[in-house]
Amino acid sequence: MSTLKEQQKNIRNFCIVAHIDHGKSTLADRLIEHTGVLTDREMQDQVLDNMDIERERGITIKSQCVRMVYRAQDGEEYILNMIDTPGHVDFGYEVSRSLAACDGAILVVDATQGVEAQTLANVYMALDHGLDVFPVINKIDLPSAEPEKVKDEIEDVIGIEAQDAPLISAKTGTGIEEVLEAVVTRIPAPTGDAGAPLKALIFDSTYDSYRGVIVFVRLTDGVIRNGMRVRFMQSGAEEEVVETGTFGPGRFIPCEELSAGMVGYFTASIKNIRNARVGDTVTESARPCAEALPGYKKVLPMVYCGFYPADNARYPELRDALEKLQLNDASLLYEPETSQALGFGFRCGFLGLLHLEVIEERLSREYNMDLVTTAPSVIYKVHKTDGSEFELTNPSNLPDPSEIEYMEEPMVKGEIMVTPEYVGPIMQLCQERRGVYVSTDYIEQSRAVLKYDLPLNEVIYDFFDALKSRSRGYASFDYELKGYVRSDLVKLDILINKEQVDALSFIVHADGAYERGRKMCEKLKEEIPRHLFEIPIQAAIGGKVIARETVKALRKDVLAKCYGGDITRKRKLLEKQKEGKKRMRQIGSVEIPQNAFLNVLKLGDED
Amino acid sequence: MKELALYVHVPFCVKKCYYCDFLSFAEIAPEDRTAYVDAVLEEISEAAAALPKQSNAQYEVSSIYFGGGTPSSMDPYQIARLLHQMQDYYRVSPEAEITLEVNPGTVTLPKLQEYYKMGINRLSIGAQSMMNHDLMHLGRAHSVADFYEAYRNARTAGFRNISVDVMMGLPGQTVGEYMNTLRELADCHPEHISAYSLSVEEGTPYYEIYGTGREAADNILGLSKLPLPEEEAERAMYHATVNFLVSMGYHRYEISNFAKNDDGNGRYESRHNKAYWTRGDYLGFGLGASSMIANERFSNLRNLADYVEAKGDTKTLRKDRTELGLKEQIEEYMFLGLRMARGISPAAFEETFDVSLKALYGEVIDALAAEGLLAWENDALVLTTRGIDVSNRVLSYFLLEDEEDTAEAPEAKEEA
Repeated sequence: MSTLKEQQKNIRNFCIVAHIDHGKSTLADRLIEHTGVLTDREMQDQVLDNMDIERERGITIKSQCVRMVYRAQDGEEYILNMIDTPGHVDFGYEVSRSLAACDGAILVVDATQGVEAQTLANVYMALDHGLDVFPVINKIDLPSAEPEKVKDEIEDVIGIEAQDAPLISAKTGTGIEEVLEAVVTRIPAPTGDAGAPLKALIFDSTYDSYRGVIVFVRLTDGVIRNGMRVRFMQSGAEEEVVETGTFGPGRFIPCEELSAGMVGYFTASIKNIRNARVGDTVTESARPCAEALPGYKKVLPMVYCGFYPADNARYPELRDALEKLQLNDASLLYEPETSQALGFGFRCGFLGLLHLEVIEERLSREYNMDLVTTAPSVIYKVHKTDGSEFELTNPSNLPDPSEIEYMEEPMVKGEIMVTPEYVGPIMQLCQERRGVYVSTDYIEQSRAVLKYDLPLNEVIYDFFDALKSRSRGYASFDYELKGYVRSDLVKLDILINKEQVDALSFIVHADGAYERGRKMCEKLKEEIPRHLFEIPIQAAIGGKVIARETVKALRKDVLAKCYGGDITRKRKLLEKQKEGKKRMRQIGSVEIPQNAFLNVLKLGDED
Repeated sequence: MKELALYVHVPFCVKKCYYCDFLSFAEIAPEDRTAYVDAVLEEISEAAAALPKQSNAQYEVSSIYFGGGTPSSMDPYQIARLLHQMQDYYRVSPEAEITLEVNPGTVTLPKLQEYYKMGINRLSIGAQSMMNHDLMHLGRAHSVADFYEAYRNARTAGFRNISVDVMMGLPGQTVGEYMNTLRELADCHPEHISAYSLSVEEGTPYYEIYGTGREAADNILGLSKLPLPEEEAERAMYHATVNFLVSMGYHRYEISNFAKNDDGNGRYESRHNKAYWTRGDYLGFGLGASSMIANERFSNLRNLADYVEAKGDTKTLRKDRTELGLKEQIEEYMFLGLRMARGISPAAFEETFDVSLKALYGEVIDALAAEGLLAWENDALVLTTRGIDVSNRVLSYFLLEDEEDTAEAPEAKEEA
């Protein structure tokens, strides 16, 4: 579309990093609007967040790319490639991928909230990637905005210069021109040799039923053009490029070629998504580059759980769906597993609980999968008495206690930012979750940074919710893996009507086992409908029952009136009854609603 | 001769009871009621013409039932018009059971005498409770004294086949209170008693109080929120009903229905209801009335103005026409038949459907029998007492699998 001669010096590849809710997506919208890529009619709030889930939750999960053309005050036209990044701690890997395609980053800080834990995490990640970062201070239209204070905070806490940070309101559009100028002046143009052999990093991809895999690339060196035969250096696959192009908001704009420094996409009738993995390097088959790009830091899943199709016949569909999701979410891992209770499914690895929930929702919405999910689990290291050691991702696979020498569990370094009045409750929460206190630092008087070492196992159980509720939403949390420590862990089994339900087994610290077992039983009692017989629900450790509840037998379920000759109405009542049964999982002779599995695992922190 | 049952729906009441979700209206002007009767008269004749060819000649009407609503709130003259129309257009057996639903407080001795004279030979009186505070809470338009008066007058008018309806599980009701109600009713020696459990239905004031699960708004209709009896108490009421009525010479022939057992020939069992339970053919006339003819079910539209406007045109009136396939016929046979105390006879089943009960339901029956919910009595399959308590569950097991259920169309198919 553009006939503009795209000189490297007039290209800027950048992203926006921010803490969740600080207005990143809104700013992105304004930039797009201001550069006139979209007409008003096309402009919809938060154009970049185009996944349903993102819009609903107001968070960005997947990276998105937009190419804008901006005439700067120096009179020249610039190509601005903006790569949107997720803000949530779970999606650090996505952030990392996006950063690899950029040369600089805008840091958005909320003028009313200041620096938060994820702000730090994301900025450090950007700096680690060698990006130039400049701050903008957003939401200055709010009465509670304190831009000067926030500037100082940015300098004190992050250590980047902030005195001339643009003061903006993405909501009202104030200061947008200033931001665009800053992008041009403060973010470096890409470097790279267009004459060198092709070297391009795959930073994302998507799947299109007509064109196959659409590969998103950032070219370091060389040129990629239609008809060129390219090689994926890691997978070794070779394909012929069918189409190259750049990103318009929500659509692809084909062009003849992409050259060093540019960000764009290409297609090559790639059917097998494994051949074009994110992180791989693309080069020209005829003139390959010497060595592949480093790709980026492989992020390992921290949380595992089982996904099972509610209808076992749909197992192959679930496999296809996971494969497609993995295509542009490399942090999602899965492998087949079998549960006695749930049949065939997959054990999946996630970056965190939100990641898990997002994948679950995407499977449900985009692939229409009805899922049963098992208890999330972290990876434990099991040391056996015979001296061997293995990593346990599925509690059901824990060997008999007599074969276990000891176990280790993952610890995280947790950093909680909170206003001083909530330090007490948050410390209490961390203690309850077996946290080991490290330090408290005050950034000014209004903000404390609490550091705790916490077992990941405790973090994946509604820790975020508990944190939010105990701080009235003011606390923010970030964590990174610290390492493994030896711990007194036990496997808690749940027995329903005397039958052990493997999908509900989980590993827990011995001190918390009774409490957790009791809660599980109570919750299950609420979830399991009354049957024609009494159902005992038990929590047990190694055969020893530690908690018990009973679902009383149903005493009465009578078809009420006669309704004259309206037999159809009677039939409908019975059919409803029968339909209800279909949404149940049969465990022995007990029928359990599918959503009970997830509900039981979401044990609240009400008390 | 094939038996046919006729039903006429009278959708008018003096007032709506708080628990009632039947199709009926209070405060309808007399001329509108007359217009309704006119429309039903047309439907009666049209429906006769619409019967499958020649079959009207083969049918003999064994039962006519005026239900509601409150048919006894109508001028007897209107009931007579309806009855005569049916007698004109259908072959009504001289032995036919002709029932009129009556609410106490709507009938006087002369009115009852007129009913008797025109040929009504059975009354179904809605007593519901013999405690005034229950009647008030239910929103009934009558008192205990009204019931006694209506009952006495009915006997005086000549009725020798009277059924009374009673409800159990009322708000605040104890087992003892309920048994007093039942005893007082039984002391009247009606030929038939229907004893139903109160059910809280959507769209009623009771639903607002008891059905929504949330804390009821204060003072819905000024009703105090008396708690509903616990399940155990409610079931105790039912069990006591069976024991007590049997001791009083009644015979339970259906889950909720009891008949005087004078000579063991079941002459006081409701012929009309048995037509429903045994899947006999029946035609329902009037607003929302249901019918089944030759294994086709249909029911009339439910808007009063539309009904009157249709002037009896069966094509306009009849909705939800469903041809029952063999599967549906079998299911109905089971879930209706098991309501009856005589149960399901495997021989009769096989004769009707040409397939053995065991082949179709063997596993289900064995499993439910092992749970103590079904039993074999005199070579027939019956619900046990416990099976009756949870009959909804038990009967739902007799719905057969749809073939298409097993092959669910995958929606997220391979795109490439």
